[in-house]
Amino acid sequence: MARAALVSAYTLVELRRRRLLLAFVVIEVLLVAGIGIAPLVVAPGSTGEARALFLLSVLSGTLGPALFICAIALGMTIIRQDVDSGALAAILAKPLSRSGYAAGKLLAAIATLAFVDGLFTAGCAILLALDGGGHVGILAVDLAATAANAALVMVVVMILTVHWTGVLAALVGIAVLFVESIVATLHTAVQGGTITSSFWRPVVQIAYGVLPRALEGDLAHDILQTSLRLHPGARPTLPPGGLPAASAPGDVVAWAVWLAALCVALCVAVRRKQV
Amino acid sequence: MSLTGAAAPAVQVRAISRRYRRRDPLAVDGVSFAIEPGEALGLLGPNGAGKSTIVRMVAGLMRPDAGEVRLFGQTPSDVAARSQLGLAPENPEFPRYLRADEVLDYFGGLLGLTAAERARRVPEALAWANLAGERRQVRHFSKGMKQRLGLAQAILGRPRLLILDEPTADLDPMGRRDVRELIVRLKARGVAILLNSHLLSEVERVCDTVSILIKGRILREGPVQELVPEGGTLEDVFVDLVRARSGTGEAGLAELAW
Repeated sequence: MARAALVSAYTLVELRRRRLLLAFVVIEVLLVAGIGIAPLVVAPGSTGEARALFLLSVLSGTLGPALFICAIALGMTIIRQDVDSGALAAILAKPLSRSGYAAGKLLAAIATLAFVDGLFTAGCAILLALDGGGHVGILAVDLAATAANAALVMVVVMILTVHWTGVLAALVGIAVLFVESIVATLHTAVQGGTITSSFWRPVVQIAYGVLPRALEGDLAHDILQTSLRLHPGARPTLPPGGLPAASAPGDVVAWAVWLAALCVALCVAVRRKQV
Repeated sequence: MSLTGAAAPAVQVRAISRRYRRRDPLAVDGVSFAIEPGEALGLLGPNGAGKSTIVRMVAGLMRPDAGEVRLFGQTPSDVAARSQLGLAPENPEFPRYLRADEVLDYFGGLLGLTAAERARRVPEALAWANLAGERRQVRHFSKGMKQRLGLAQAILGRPRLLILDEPTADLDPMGRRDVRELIVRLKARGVAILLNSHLLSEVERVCDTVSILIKGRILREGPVQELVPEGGTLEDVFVDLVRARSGTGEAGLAELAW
Protein backbone atom coordinates (compact mmCIF):
# COMPACT_ATOMS: atom_id res chain seq x y z
CA MET A 1 0.00 0.00 0.00
CA ALA A 2 2.92 2.33 0.75
CA ARG A 3 4.28 1.71 -2.75
CA ALA A 4 0.88 2.44 -4.33
CA ALA A 5 0.76 5.69 -2.34
CA LEU A 6 4.21 6.57 -3.67
CA VAL A 7 3.10 5.95 -7.26
CA SER A 8 0.10 8.15 -6.57
CA ALA A 9 2.13 10.95 -4.98
CA TYR A 10 4.64 11.17 -7.83
CA THR A 11 1.84 10.94 -10.41
CA LEU A 12 0.28 14.01 -8.81
CA VAL A 13 3.65 15.80 -8.95
CA GLU A 14 3.83 15.00 -12.67
CA LEU A 15 0.27 16.15 -13.32
CA ARG A 16 1.01 19.41 -11.57
CA ARG A 17 4.19 19.98 -13.58
CA ARG A 18 2.42 19.09 -16.84
CA ARG A 19 0.16 22.07 -16.05
CA LEU A 20 -2.88 19.80 -16.25
CA LEU A 21 -4.14 20.89 -12.84
CA LEU A 22 -3.52 24.51 -13.80
CA ALA A 23 -5.55 23.97 -16.98
CA PHE A 24 -8.45 22.63 -14.89
CA VAL A 25 -8.30 25.64 -12.58
CA VAL A 26 -8.26 28.04 -15.54
CA ILE A 27 -11.23 26.25 -17.17
CA GLU A 28 -13.16 26.46 -13.90
CA VAL A 29 -12.41 30.14 -13.29
CA LEU A 30 -13.28 31.12 -16.87
CA LEU A 31 -16.53 29.12 -16.84
CA VAL A 32 -17.75 30.34 -13.47
CA ALA A 33 -16.76 33.95 -14.18
CA GLY A 34 -18.41 33.78 -17.61
CA ILE A 35 -21.60 32.35 -16.17
CA GLY A 36 -21.54 34.98 -13.43
CA ILE A 37 -21.30 37.80 -15.95
CA ALA A 38 -23.78 36.28 -18.44
CA PRO A 39 -27.04 37.44 -16.69
CA LEU A 40 -25.82 41.05 -16.88
CA VAL A 41 -25.57 40.69 -20.66
CA VAL A 42 -28.39 38.26 -21.50
CA ALA A 43 -31.02 39.34 -19.00
CA PRO A 44 -29.90 42.69 -17.50
CA GLY A 45 -33.14 43.42 -15.73
CA SER A 46 -33.56 40.04 -14.02
CA THR A 47 -33.44 39.82 -10.24
CA GLY A 48 -34.01 37.33 -7.43
CA GLU A 49 -35.42 33.92 -8.37
CA ALA A 50 -35.33 34.62 -12.11
CA ARG A 51 -31.62 35.35 -11.94
CA ALA A 52 -31.04 32.28 -9.73
CA LEU A 53 -32.99 30.15 -12.21
CA PHE A 54 -30.84 31.43 -15.06
CA LEU A 55 -27.62 30.74 -13.15
CA LEU A 56 -28.70 27.25 -12.09
CA SER A 57 -29.75 26.29 -15.61
CA VAL A 58 -26.50 27.49 -17.15
CA LEU A 59 -24.30 26.03 -14.38
CA SER A 60 -25.91 22.61 -14.62
CA GLY A 61 -25.69 22.64 -18.41
CA THR A 62 -22.05 23.76 -18.52
CA LEU A 63 -20.17 22.37 -15.55
CA GLY A 64 -21.35 18.77 -16.05
CA PRO A 65 -19.78 18.47 -19.54
CA ALA A 66 -16.70 20.34 -18.25
CA LEU A 67 -16.28 17.74 -15.50
CA PHE A 68 -16.55 14.94 -18.07
CA ILE A 69 -13.90 16.62 -20.24
CA CYS A 70 -11.56 16.89 -17.24
CA ALA A 71 -12.19 13.23 -16.35
CA ILE A 72 -11.44 12.06 -19.90
CA ALA A 73 -8.29 14.23 -20.04
CA LEU A 74 -7.14 12.64 -16.76
CA GLY A 75 -7.93 9.13 -17.98
CA MET A 76 -5.99 9.76 -21.20
CA THR A 77 -2.91 10.98 -19.38
CA ILE A 78 -2.43 9.25 -16.10
CA ILE A 79 -1.16 5.83 -17.25
CA ARG A 80 -0.37 6.67 -20.85
CA GLN A 81 2.32 9.16 -19.77
CA ASP A 82 4.35 6.25 -18.37
CA VAL A 83 3.71 4.05 -21.41
CA ASP A 84 4.62 6.75 -23.95
CA SER A 85 7.69 7.99 -22.11
CA GLY A 86 8.97 4.43 -21.66
CA ALA A 87 9.15 4.91 -17.88
CA LEU A 88 6.78 1.97 -17.35
CA ALA A 89 9.61 -0.56 -17.86
CA ALA A 90 11.79 1.06 -15.19
CA ILE A 91 8.83 1.27 -12.76
CA LEU A 92 7.51 -2.27 -13.26
CA ALA A 93 11.02 -3.76 -12.91
CA LYS A 94 10.91 -2.57 -9.29
CA PRO A 95 9.42 -4.74 -6.54
CA LEU A 96 5.99 -3.20 -7.02
CA SER A 97 3.05 -5.44 -7.86
CA ARG A 98 1.23 -4.46 -11.00
CA SER A 99 -1.98 -4.21 -8.99
CA GLY A 100 -0.14 -1.80 -6.69
CA TYR A 101 0.82 0.31 -9.69
CA ALA A 102 -2.78 0.33 -10.94
CA ALA A 103 -4.05 1.20 -7.44
CA GLY A 104 -1.61 4.10 -7.20
CA LYS A 105 -2.70 5.49 -10.55
CA LEU A 106 -6.39 5.10 -9.64
CA LEU A 107 -5.84 6.87 -6.35
CA ALA A 108 -4.16 9.81 -8.11
CA ALA A 109 -6.88 10.00 -10.77
CA ILE A 110 -9.77 9.91 -8.30
CA ALA A 111 -8.09 12.42 -5.98
CA THR A 112 -7.58 14.81 -8.89
CA LEU A 113 -11.17 14.42 -10.08
CA ALA A 114 -12.40 15.08 -6.53
CA PHE A 115 -10.19 18.19 -6.45
CA VAL A 116 -11.69 19.42 -9.73
CA ASP A 117 -15.21 18.72 -8.46
CA GLY A 118 -14.38 20.64 -5.27
CA LEU A 119 -13.13 23.57 -7.35
CA PHE A 120 -16.32 23.63 -9.43
CA THR A 121 -18.51 23.40 -6.34
CA ALA A 122 -16.59 26.20 -4.60
CA GLY A 123 -16.88 28.38 -7.69
CA CYS A 124 -20.64 27.78 -7.90
CA ALA A 125 -21.06 28.43 -4.17
CA ILE A 126 -19.28 31.78 -4.49
CA LEU A 127 -21.37 32.70 -7.53
CA LEU A 128 -24.67 31.75 -5.88
CA ALA A 129 -23.64 33.48 -2.63
CA LEU A 130 -22.99 36.68 -4.57
CA ASP A 131 -26.47 36.28 -6.03
CA GLY A 132 -28.06 36.07 -2.60
CA GLY A 133 -27.50 32.39 -1.72
CA GLY A 134 -29.76 29.39 -2.05
CA HIS A 135 -29.66 26.18 -4.12
CA VAL A 136 -25.98 25.63 -3.22
CA GLY A 137 -26.56 22.29 -1.51
CA ILE A 138 -28.62 20.91 -4.39
CA LEU A 139 -26.06 22.07 -6.96
CA ALA A 140 -23.19 20.55 -4.92
CA VAL A 141 -24.96 17.17 -4.77
CA ASP A 142 -25.65 17.34 -8.51
CA LEU A 143 -21.99 18.11 -9.27
CA ALA A 144 -20.87 15.27 -6.98
CA ALA A 145 -23.20 12.90 -8.86
CA THR A 146 -21.76 14.13 -12.17
CA ALA A 147 -18.21 13.63 -10.87
CA ALA A 148 -19.14 10.09 -9.79
CA ASN A 149 -20.48 9.37 -13.29
CA ALA A 150 -17.38 10.93 -14.85
CA ALA A 151 -15.17 8.73 -12.64
CA LEU A 152 -16.56 5.60 -14.32
CA VAL A 153 -15.76 6.97 -17.79
CA MET A 154 -12.32 8.05 -16.57
CA VAL A 155 -11.49 4.53 -15.39
CA VAL A 156 -12.77 3.07 -18.70
CA VAL A 157 -10.39 5.42 -20.55
CA MET A 158 -7.53 4.48 -18.18
CA ILE A 159 -8.10 0.78 -18.90
CA LEU A 160 -8.01 1.38 -22.64
CA THR A 161 -4.83 3.52 -22.49
CA VAL A 162 -2.89 0.56 -21.11
CA HIS A 163 -2.91 -0.84 -24.64
CA TRP A 164 -4.30 1.92 -26.90
CA THR A 165 -3.35 5.51 -27.58
CA GLY A 166 -4.94 8.20 -25.41
CA VAL A 167 -6.96 9.68 -28.28
CA LEU A 168 -8.46 6.33 -29.27
CA ALA A 169 -9.27 5.55 -25.64
CA ALA A 170 -10.92 8.97 -25.25
CA LEU A 171 -13.05 8.42 -28.36
CA VAL A 172 -14.27 5.10 -26.97
CA GLY A 173 -14.95 6.81 -23.62
CA ILE A 174 -17.05 9.46 -25.37
CA ALA A 175 -18.89 6.73 -27.31
CA VAL A 176 -19.69 4.96 -24.02
CA LEU A 177 -21.10 8.22 -22.64
CA PHE A 178 -23.17 8.73 -25.79
CA VAL A 179 -24.64 5.21 -25.62
CA GLU A 180 -25.40 5.60 -21.90
CA SER A 181 -27.25 8.87 -22.44
CA ILE A 182 -29.27 7.45 -25.35
CA VAL A 183 -30.26 4.41 -23.30
CA ALA A 184 -31.17 6.63 -20.32
CA THR A 185 -33.33 8.85 -22.55
CA LEU A 186 -35.04 5.85 -24.11
CA HIS A 187 -35.65 4.41 -20.65
CA THR A 188 -37.28 7.65 -19.52
CA ALA A 189 -39.48 7.43 -22.63
CA VAL A 190 -40.42 3.84 -21.78
CA GLN A 191 -41.24 4.84 -18.21
CA GLY A 192 -43.31 7.78 -19.44
CA GLY A 193 -45.24 5.53 -21.82
CA THR A 194 -43.90 7.22 -24.96
CA ILE A 195 -42.40 3.96 -26.23
CA THR A 196 -45.05 1.27 -26.30
CA SER A 197 -43.53 -1.25 -28.73
CA SER A 198 -43.48 -4.73 -27.21
CA PHE A 199 -40.13 -5.30 -28.93
CA TRP A 200 -38.29 -2.10 -27.92
CA ARG A 201 -39.56 -1.88 -24.33
CA PRO A 202 -37.71 -5.02 -23.10
CA VAL A 203 -34.65 -4.18 -25.22
CA VAL A 204 -34.39 -0.75 -23.60
CA GLN A 205 -35.07 -2.20 -20.13
CA ILE A 206 -32.29 -4.79 -20.56
CA ALA A 207 -29.80 -2.22 -21.92
CA TYR A 208 -30.67 0.10 -19.03
CA GLY A 209 -30.15 -2.72 -16.55
CA VAL A 210 -26.81 -3.79 -18.02
CA LEU A 211 -25.14 -0.39 -18.48
CA PRO A 212 -23.94 1.66 -15.53
CA ARG A 213 -26.74 3.92 -14.38
CA ALA A 214 -25.92 7.60 -14.12
CA LEU A 215 -26.31 9.01 -10.63
CA GLU A 216 -28.70 11.96 -10.48
CA GLY A 217 -29.18 14.82 -8.07
CA ASP A 218 -32.34 16.85 -7.50
CA LEU A 219 -31.22 19.86 -9.51
CA ALA A 220 -33.42 19.21 -12.55
CA HIS A 221 -36.53 19.03 -10.32
CA ASP A 222 -35.36 22.13 -8.42
CA ILE A 223 -35.00 24.09 -11.66
CA LEU A 224 -38.43 22.93 -12.85
CA GLN A 225 -40.11 23.85 -9.56
CA THR A 226 -38.41 27.25 -9.50
CA SER A 227 -39.53 27.80 -13.07
CA LEU A 228 -43.13 26.84 -12.24
CA ARG A 229 -43.09 29.19 -9.25
CA LEU A 230 -41.88 32.04 -11.43
CA HIS A 231 -44.31 31.31 -14.27
CA PRO A 232 -47.40 29.68 -12.66
CA GLY A 233 -49.40 29.70 -15.85
CA ALA A 234 -46.68 28.22 -18.03
CA ARG A 235 -46.91 24.64 -19.28
CA PRO A 236 -43.54 22.86 -18.85
CA THR A 237 -42.14 21.07 -21.91
CA LEU A 238 -41.38 18.08 -19.69
CA PRO A 239 -43.63 17.03 -16.80
CA PRO A 240 -41.91 16.39 -13.43
CA GLY A 241 -42.44 12.65 -13.99
CA GLY A 242 -40.45 12.87 -17.22
CA LEU A 243 -37.32 14.01 -15.39
CA PRO A 244 -34.99 11.39 -13.97
CA ALA A 245 -35.54 10.91 -10.24
CA ALA A 246 -32.76 11.61 -7.76
CA SER A 247 -30.65 8.51 -7.18
CA ALA A 248 -31.60 6.21 -4.32
CA PRO A 249 -29.05 4.44 -2.07
CA GLY A 250 -29.44 1.34 -4.30
CA ASP A 251 -28.20 3.36 -7.28
CA VAL A 252 -25.15 4.48 -5.31
CA VAL A 253 -24.42 0.84 -4.41
CA ALA A 254 -24.75 -0.12 -8.10
CA TRP A 255 -22.34 2.70 -9.00
CA ALA A 256 -19.86 1.45 -6.38
CA VAL A 257 -20.10 -2.09 -7.77
CA TRP A 258 -19.40 -0.76 -11.28
CA LEU A 259 -16.43 1.27 -10.03
CA ALA A 260 -15.03 -1.79 -8.23
CA ALA A 261 -15.48 -3.94 -11.35
CA LEU A 262 -13.71 -1.36 -13.51
CA CYS A 263 -10.86 -1.11 -10.98
CA VAL A 264 -10.43 -4.89 -11.16
CA ALA A 265 -10.44 -4.65 -14.98
CA LEU A 266 -7.71 -1.99 -14.79
CA CYS A 267 -5.58 -4.25 -12.58
CA VAL A 268 -6.04 -7.13 -15.06
CA ALA A 269 -5.09 -4.86 -18.00
CA VAL A 270 -1.91 -3.70 -16.23
CA ARG A 271 -1.03 -7.28 -15.22
CA ARG A 272 -1.35 -8.43 -18.83
CA LYS A 273 0.73 -5.55 -20.20
CA GLN A 274 3.94 -6.72 -21.86
CA VAL A 275 6.56 -4.00 -21.64
CA MET B 1 19.72 -28.55 -9.63
CA SER B 2 16.83 -27.45 -7.45
CA LEU B 3 15.22 -24.22 -8.55
CA THR B 4 14.22 -23.18 -5.08
CA GLY B 5 16.02 -22.45 -1.84
CA ALA B 6 19.28 -20.74 -1.00
CA ALA B 7 21.36 -22.83 -3.43
CA ALA B 8 19.40 -21.59 -6.46
CA PRO B 9 21.42 -19.62 -9.01
CA ALA B 10 20.80 -15.90 -9.34
CA VAL B 11 19.27 -16.47 -12.77
CA GLN B 12 18.07 -19.76 -14.23
CA VAL B 13 16.62 -19.59 -17.72
CA ARG B 14 15.26 -22.81 -19.18
CA ALA B 15 14.32 -23.16 -22.85
CA ILE B 16 12.51 -19.84 -23.13
CA SER B 17 10.87 -18.89 -26.42
CA ARG B 18 9.01 -15.79 -27.43
CA ARG B 19 7.23 -14.66 -30.56
CA TYR B 20 5.89 -11.09 -30.82
CA ARG B 21 3.10 -11.77 -33.29
CA ARG B 22 1.63 -15.02 -34.51
CA ARG B 23 3.11 -14.77 -38.01
CA ASP B 24 6.51 -13.46 -36.87
CA PRO B 25 9.50 -15.79 -36.51
CA LEU B 26 10.58 -16.60 -32.97
CA ALA B 27 12.43 -13.64 -31.45
CA VAL B 28 13.87 -16.00 -28.84
CA ASP B 29 14.03 -19.72 -29.51
CA GLY B 30 14.74 -22.22 -26.73
CA VAL B 31 17.38 -20.19 -24.88
CA SER B 32 18.82 -21.55 -21.64
CA PHE B 33 21.52 -20.27 -19.33
CA ALA B 34 22.29 -19.75 -15.67
CA ILE B 35 24.20 -17.10 -13.76
CA GLU B 36 25.67 -17.82 -10.35
CA PRO B 37 26.29 -15.14 -7.70
CA GLY B 38 29.55 -13.29 -8.42
CA GLU B 39 29.45 -14.32 -12.08
CA ALA B 40 29.09 -12.01 -15.11
CA LEU B 41 27.46 -13.37 -18.26
CA GLY B 42 27.79 -11.44 -21.51
CA LEU B 43 24.94 -11.74 -23.97
CA LEU B 44 26.20 -11.05 -27.47
CA GLY B 45 24.53 -10.98 -30.84
CA PRO B 46 23.87 -8.82 -33.88
CA ASN B 47 20.90 -6.44 -33.98
CA GLY B 48 17.62 -8.32 -33.75
CA ALA B 49 19.21 -11.40 -32.21
CA GLY B 50 16.78 -11.33 -29.28
CA LYS B 51 19.06 -10.04 -26.53
CA SER B 52 16.77 -7.29 -25.25
CA THR B 53 13.77 -9.63 -25.42
CA ILE B 54 15.64 -12.04 -23.15
CA VAL B 55 16.47 -9.19 -20.78
CA ARG B 56 12.79 -8.18 -20.61
CA MET B 57 11.73 -11.75 -19.86
CA VAL B 58 14.39 -12.13 -17.14
CA ALA B 59 13.28 -8.81 -15.58
CA GLY B 60 9.63 -9.94 -15.56
CA LEU B 61 8.49 -7.25 -17.99
CA MET B 62 7.45 -9.81 -20.59
CA ARG B 63 6.29 -13.39 -20.30
CA PRO B 64 7.92 -16.16 -22.34
CA ASP B 65 5.58 -18.18 -24.58
CA ALA B 66 7.41 -21.34 -23.46
CA GLY B 67 10.08 -22.22 -20.93
CA GLU B 68 10.69 -20.64 -17.56
CA VAL B 69 12.76 -17.99 -15.84
CA ARG B 70 13.73 -18.11 -12.18
CA LEU B 71 15.42 -15.36 -10.17
CA PHE B 72 16.90 -16.79 -6.98
CA GLY B 73 14.47 -19.69 -7.36
CA GLN B 74 11.37 -17.53 -7.82
CA THR B 75 9.47 -16.33 -10.85
CA PRO B 76 10.28 -12.76 -11.99
CA SER B 77 6.66 -11.77 -11.34
CA ASP B 78 7.34 -12.37 -7.65
CA VAL B 79 7.84 -9.04 -5.89
CA ALA B 80 10.42 -10.56 -3.51
CA ALA B 81 12.49 -11.80 -6.47
CA ARG B 82 12.42 -8.38 -8.10
CA SER B 83 13.58 -6.73 -4.88
CA GLN B 84 16.97 -8.43 -5.53
CA LEU B 85 17.09 -7.13 -9.09
CA GLY B 86 18.59 -3.98 -10.56
CA LEU B 87 17.76 -3.27 -14.19
CA ALA B 88 19.43 -0.65 -16.36
CA PRO B 89 17.27 -0.89 -19.47
CA GLU B 90 18.32 -0.11 -23.02
CA ASN B 91 17.33 3.52 -23.83
CA PRO B 92 16.40 4.20 -20.20
CA GLU B 93 13.38 6.44 -19.72
CA PHE B 94 11.87 7.83 -16.54
CA PRO B 95 8.86 9.95 -15.53
CA ARG B 96 9.69 12.95 -17.69
CA TYR B 97 8.56 15.74 -15.39
CA LEU B 98 10.59 14.59 -12.37
CA ARG B 99 14.13 15.62 -11.50
CA ALA B 100 16.94 13.06 -11.11
CA ASP B 101 16.82 13.18 -7.30
CA GLU B 102 13.03 12.71 -7.38
CA VAL B 103 13.32 9.74 -9.73
CA LEU B 104 15.78 8.08 -7.36
CA ASP B 105 13.65 8.91 -4.32
CA TYR B 106 10.57 7.48 -6.10
CA PHE B 107 12.37 4.31 -7.17
CA GLY B 108 14.06 3.98 -3.79
CA GLY B 109 10.62 4.03 -2.20
CA LEU B 110 9.42 1.37 -4.63
CA LEU B 111 12.47 -0.70 -3.63
CA GLY B 112 11.29 -0.52 -0.03
CA LEU B 113 14.07 1.78 1.22
CA THR B 114 13.18 3.84 4.27
CA ALA B 115 13.22 7.64 4.08
CA ALA B 116 16.51 7.68 6.02
CA GLU B 117 18.09 5.16 3.64
CA ARG B 118 16.90 7.15 0.65
CA ALA B 119 18.27 10.36 2.15
CA ARG B 120 21.69 8.69 2.36
CA ARG B 121 21.75 6.63 -0.82
CA VAL B 122 20.17 9.03 -3.31
CA PRO B 123 22.95 11.66 -3.05
CA GLU B 124 25.56 8.86 -3.21
CA ALA B 125 24.03 7.43 -6.38
CA LEU B 126 23.69 10.90 -7.92
CA ALA B 127 27.32 11.66 -7.16
CA TRP B 128 28.42 8.35 -8.71
CA ALA B 129 26.41 9.17 -11.82
CA ASN B 130 27.82 12.73 -12.02
CA LEU B 131 24.30 14.09 -11.62
CA ALA B 132 24.70 15.72 -8.21
CA GLY B 133 23.23 19.22 -8.25
CA GLU B 134 21.34 18.60 -11.50
CA ARG B 135 18.01 20.43 -11.08
CA ARG B 136 16.49 20.04 -14.54
CA GLN B 137 13.62 17.66 -15.19
CA VAL B 138 14.46 14.36 -16.90
CA ARG B 139 12.81 15.48 -20.15
CA HIS B 140 15.66 17.96 -20.59
CA PHE B 141 18.38 15.30 -20.12
CA SER B 142 20.72 14.12 -22.88
CA LYS B 143 20.86 10.42 -23.75
CA GLY B 144 24.08 10.04 -21.79
CA MET B 145 22.57 11.67 -18.69
CA LYS B 146 19.56 9.36 -18.89
CA GLN B 147 21.88 6.39 -19.21
CA ARG B 148 23.81 7.47 -16.11
CA LEU B 149 20.55 7.93 -14.22
CA GLY B 150 19.49 4.48 -15.45
CA LEU B 151 22.64 2.98 -13.94
CA ALA B 152 22.23 4.96 -10.70
CA GLN B 153 18.65 3.68 -10.17
CA ALA B 154 19.75 0.13 -11.02
CA ILE B 155 22.32 0.02 -8.21
CA LEU B 156 20.27 2.08 -5.72
CA GLY B 157 18.74 -0.93 -3.96
CA ARG B 158 22.09 -2.81 -3.64
CA PRO B 159 20.79 -5.62 -5.91
CA ARG B 160 22.12 -9.19 -5.89
CA LEU B 161 21.44 -9.39 -9.62
CA LEU B 162 22.26 -6.54 -11.98
CA ILE B 163 20.98 -6.57 -15.55
CA LEU B 164 22.71 -4.11 -17.83
CA ASP B 165 21.19 -3.73 -21.29
CA GLU B 166 23.64 -1.79 -23.50
CA PRO B 167 24.76 0.20 -20.44
CA THR B 168 27.52 2.18 -22.16
CA ALA B 169 25.93 2.87 -25.55
CA ASP B 170 25.55 6.62 -24.92
CA LEU B 171 28.35 7.15 -22.41
CA ASP B 172 31.60 9.01 -22.89
CA PRO B 173 34.92 7.17 -22.32
CA MET B 174 34.99 8.21 -18.64
CA GLY B 175 31.48 6.92 -18.14
CA ARG B 176 32.41 3.62 -19.80
CA ARG B 177 35.36 3.20 -17.49
CA ASP B 178 33.14 3.91 -14.47
CA VAL B 179 30.74 1.19 -15.59
CA ARG B 180 33.56 -1.31 -16.12
CA GLU B 181 34.91 -0.58 -12.65
CA LEU B 182 31.44 -0.89 -11.18
CA ILE B 183 30.91 -4.30 -12.75
CA VAL B 184 34.27 -5.60 -11.50
CA ARG B 185 33.62 -4.27 -7.99
CA LEU B 186 30.09 -5.67 -7.77
CA LYS B 187 31.22 -9.07 -9.07
CA ALA B 188 33.78 -9.20 -6.30
CA ARG B 189 30.96 -8.58 -3.81
CA GLY B 190 29.01 -11.55 -5.13
CA VAL B 191 26.57 -9.71 -7.38
CA ALA B 192 25.48 -11.67 -10.45
CA ILE B 193 25.61 -9.65 -13.66
CA LEU B 194 23.86 -10.08 -16.99
CA LEU B 195 25.51 -7.77 -19.51
CA ASN B 196 24.01 -7.20 -22.91
CA SER B 197 26.41 -5.19 -25.04
CA HIS B 198 27.72 -4.66 -28.54
CA LEU B 199 31.06 -3.50 -27.19
CA LEU B 200 32.88 -6.82 -27.37
CA SER B 201 36.13 -5.54 -25.89
CA GLU B 202 34.23 -4.51 -22.76
CA VAL B 203 32.46 -7.85 -22.53
CA GLU B 204 35.78 -9.62 -22.92
CA ARG B 205 37.29 -7.58 -20.09
CA VAL B 206 34.56 -7.94 -17.49
CA CYS B 207 32.56 -11.10 -18.23
CA ASP B 208 33.38 -14.62 -17.11
CA THR B 209 31.15 -16.35 -19.64
CA VAL B 210 29.48 -15.32 -22.88
CA SER B 211 26.54 -16.56 -24.91
CA ILE B 212 26.45 -15.63 -28.58
CA LEU B 213 22.94 -15.37 -29.99
CA ILE B 214 21.87 -15.25 -33.60
CA LYS B 215 18.23 -15.13 -34.66
CA GLY B 216 17.03 -15.97 -31.17
CA ARG B 217 19.20 -19.04 -30.62
CA ILE B 218 22.41 -19.47 -28.67
CA LEU B 219 25.05 -20.61 -31.16
CA ARG B 220 28.02 -20.65 -28.86
CA GLU B 221 28.52 -20.27 -25.12
CA GLY B 222 31.18 -20.80 -22.54
CA PRO B 223 33.92 -19.16 -20.51
CA VAL B 224 35.65 -16.30 -22.32
CA GLN B 225 39.09 -17.98 -22.04
CA GLU B 226 37.79 -21.14 -23.72
CA LEU B 227 35.98 -19.34 -26.56
CA VAL B 228 38.77 -16.94 -27.49
CA PRO B 229 41.77 -18.64 -29.15
CA GLU B 230 45.36 -17.79 -28.25
CA GLY B 231 46.23 -14.38 -29.72
CA GLY B 232 42.67 -13.77 -30.90
CA THR B 233 39.88 -11.57 -29.58
CA LEU B 234 36.24 -12.10 -28.76
CA GLU B 235 35.43 -9.82 -31.68
CA ASP B 236 37.16 -12.26 -34.09
CA VAL B 237 35.14 -15.14 -32.70
CA PHE B 238 31.90 -13.17 -32.89
CA VAL B 239 32.44 -11.85 -36.43
CA ASP B 240 33.45 -15.29 -37.78
CA LEU B 241 30.41 -16.89 -36.21
CA VAL B 242 27.96 -14.26 -37.48
CA ARG B 243 29.42 -14.36 -41.01
CA ALA B 244 29.38 -18.12 -41.12
CA ARG B 245 25.78 -18.17 -39.95
CA SER B 246 24.50 -15.39 -42.20
CA GLY B 247 26.57 -16.44 -45.23
CA THR B 248 28.11 -12.99 -45.75
CA GLY B 249 31.85 -12.62 -46.26
CA GLU B 250 34.36 -9.81 -46.16
CA ALA B 251 33.43 -9.05 -49.75
CA GLY B 252 30.22 -7.46 -48.43
CA LEU B 253 31.75 -4.00 -48.06
CA ALA B 254 33.66 -4.23 -51.36
CA GLU B 255 30.41 -4.97 -53.16
CA LEU B 256 29.04 -1.57 -52.18
CA ALA B 257 29.06 0.73 -55.17
CA TRP B 258 31.65 3.23 -54.00
